[in-house]
Amino acid sequence: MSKAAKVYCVSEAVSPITHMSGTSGNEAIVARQPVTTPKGKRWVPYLSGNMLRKRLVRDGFAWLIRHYELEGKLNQDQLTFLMNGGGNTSSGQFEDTKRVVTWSEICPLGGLLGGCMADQIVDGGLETWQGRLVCHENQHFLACDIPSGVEMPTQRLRSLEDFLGSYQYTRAADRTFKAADYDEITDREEQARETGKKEKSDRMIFGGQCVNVGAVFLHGFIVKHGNPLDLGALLWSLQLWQESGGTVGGQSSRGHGRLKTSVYLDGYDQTELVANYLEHVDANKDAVCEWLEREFTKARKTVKKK
Amino acid sequence: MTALKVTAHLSTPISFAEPIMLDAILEYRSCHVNKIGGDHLTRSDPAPEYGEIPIPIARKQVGGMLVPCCSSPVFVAEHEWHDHVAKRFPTEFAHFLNREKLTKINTTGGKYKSFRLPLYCRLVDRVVWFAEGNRKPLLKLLSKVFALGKKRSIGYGRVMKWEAEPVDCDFSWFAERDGKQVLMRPLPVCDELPANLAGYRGDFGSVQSPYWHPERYCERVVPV
Repeated sequence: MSKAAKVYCVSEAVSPITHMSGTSGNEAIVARQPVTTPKGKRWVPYLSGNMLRKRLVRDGFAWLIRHYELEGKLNQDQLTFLMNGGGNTSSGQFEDTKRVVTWSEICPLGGLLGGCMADQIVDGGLETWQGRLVCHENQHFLACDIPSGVEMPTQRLRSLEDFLGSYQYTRAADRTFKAADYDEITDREEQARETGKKEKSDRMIFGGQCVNVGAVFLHGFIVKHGNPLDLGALLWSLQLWQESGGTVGGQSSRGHGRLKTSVYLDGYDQTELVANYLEHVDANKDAVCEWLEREFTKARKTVKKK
Repeated sequence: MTALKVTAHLSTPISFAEPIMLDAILEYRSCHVNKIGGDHLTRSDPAPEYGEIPIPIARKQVGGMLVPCCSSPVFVAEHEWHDHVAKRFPTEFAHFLNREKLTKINTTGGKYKSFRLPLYCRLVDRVVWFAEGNRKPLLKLLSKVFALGKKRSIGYGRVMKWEAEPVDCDFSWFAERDGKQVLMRPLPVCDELPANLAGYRGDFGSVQSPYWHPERYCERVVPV
C-alpha cells in the first residue's frame, strides 16, 4: 500500500478576504469557527475545507473538459458529476468495483475527489484541511499544519483582531435605473449646481467584515494512498487555481479574496509529478470520453431474469 | 494486554451523530493493513464472523457475543452549533452543456435539487476511550487515522495527536462510582450484567463492529 502524502500550503491574502457566513443587520459577517484557547473560547476567521476543495474541482475539471474538447458536448448528469460531485438518485445501489477502479485509473483527479453516480458512490482519496489563520489564538494548533522538522516561532503571534477589517461600497437604488436616462440625470445635476442645492443621494451603502491583506492562512491536503498521479492531479489543480487568480469566498468580481499560495511537498519532485500527470491525461483522452459516454448517456445493461 | 486510556487530540471541530467507537476504527484500519477487504461492506453483504478481523484490543464473551473491551467515547463539548453544507447545480459552467439539449432545470426538487443542510458541530479538544489492549500496535494502526467523525474530507475532526497511556483500572465496560457499576459501552441485555448497573438505558442496536449492520442488531443497554 502506498504511503499517505501530506501537501502543505501557505496562503497569504493579497486582497481582502470575504469568505462570509451570513449577515448581521446590514453587515456581512466573515466566517468564523470557535477555538479553545487558554483564556476560553474565541471565534476565529477560517477558510472552510469545502470551499478550498471546490476550487480544485472547479479549476481542475474545467481545464480537463476544455483539454478533452468536451465543451458544449456534456449532458446535465455528466456536468454535475464532474463539477459538483453528482447525486445518488437511484433506488437500487451497486458496488461495481470495476467501474470505480477504471475511473480512478483513467482520471486520477476523479479518483482523488470522488463523487456520486446515480446508483453508486465513488470514494475519494483526498482530505482537505480547513484554512487556519496564523494568529495568537491559533498558535497551539499551528504545529499540526506545518511539516515536521519546521520550528514554530516561540514569540507571541499577533491577535486575530489585528487581521480583521471592514469594507464598504455603495450601489445605486432602483430609482436611478428606472430613470435611466443619461440626459435627465445630467440635467438634474446641472440644475442642482446652479441652484446650489445638493440633491439627495439615492445610493445605498453596503459593507461587511473582511480579513485584511497580509493575513496568512495555513491549510493542506492528505492524499490517502499517495499515488503519484493523484498527487500530480492535485498539484496541477492548485497551479490552475493560482493562475486563475487564486480566489476564495465572495466578492471576487470586486477583486476580493485573492490568495497567493505556496505549496510544500516533502520527498517528491513537484515538476515531475505534474509532468507525469499531464502525460497521463493526454494518453487517456479517449478512455475518459468513452467512460463518460458509457456511464451517463447509454442505459446501463440490466440482466432480466425470466 | 493492559488497561489503556487512548486520547485523540483534535485541532478542528468535530461532527457526528452516533458515538465514534474506537474498536470500529481499528477494525477498519486492520482491514486495510491486513488486506482483508472488509472495509467496503454493504448492508446486503453478510457481516464478518465475530472476532474475524484482528485488532489490538481484547474481546470478551458476554451474553453469547464477543464484545471488544473498549469504552464508548468520552468527551466534553465546549460549544455546539450548526454549520451548513450547500450544493446547487453548477450553472456557472452551463457553457459546457450540449447546446442542442439546453433546458430549464428544476432546482427545488428532483435529482438536481439544491440544498443547504445543517451540520451539527461540536468544539471538542480531545476524545478519550478506555480500552484493554496492546499499546504499540494500537498506536501504529491509529497513526494513519487523520480525522474522526463526519465530513472528514473537508477538514472536520482533524486529529492532531494520538496518545495511549497505561492506567491502573480497566474502565472499558464499567466504571465504579458510589458503589455502582456505571456502564461505559453498549452491551447485550443478559444475566451476566452486574446487578448494580447504573447510567444506562435500554436500546435496540449493535454491540460489535460493524455497528450499522442489521445482522448485528440485538437488545442492548447503552450509556446515557
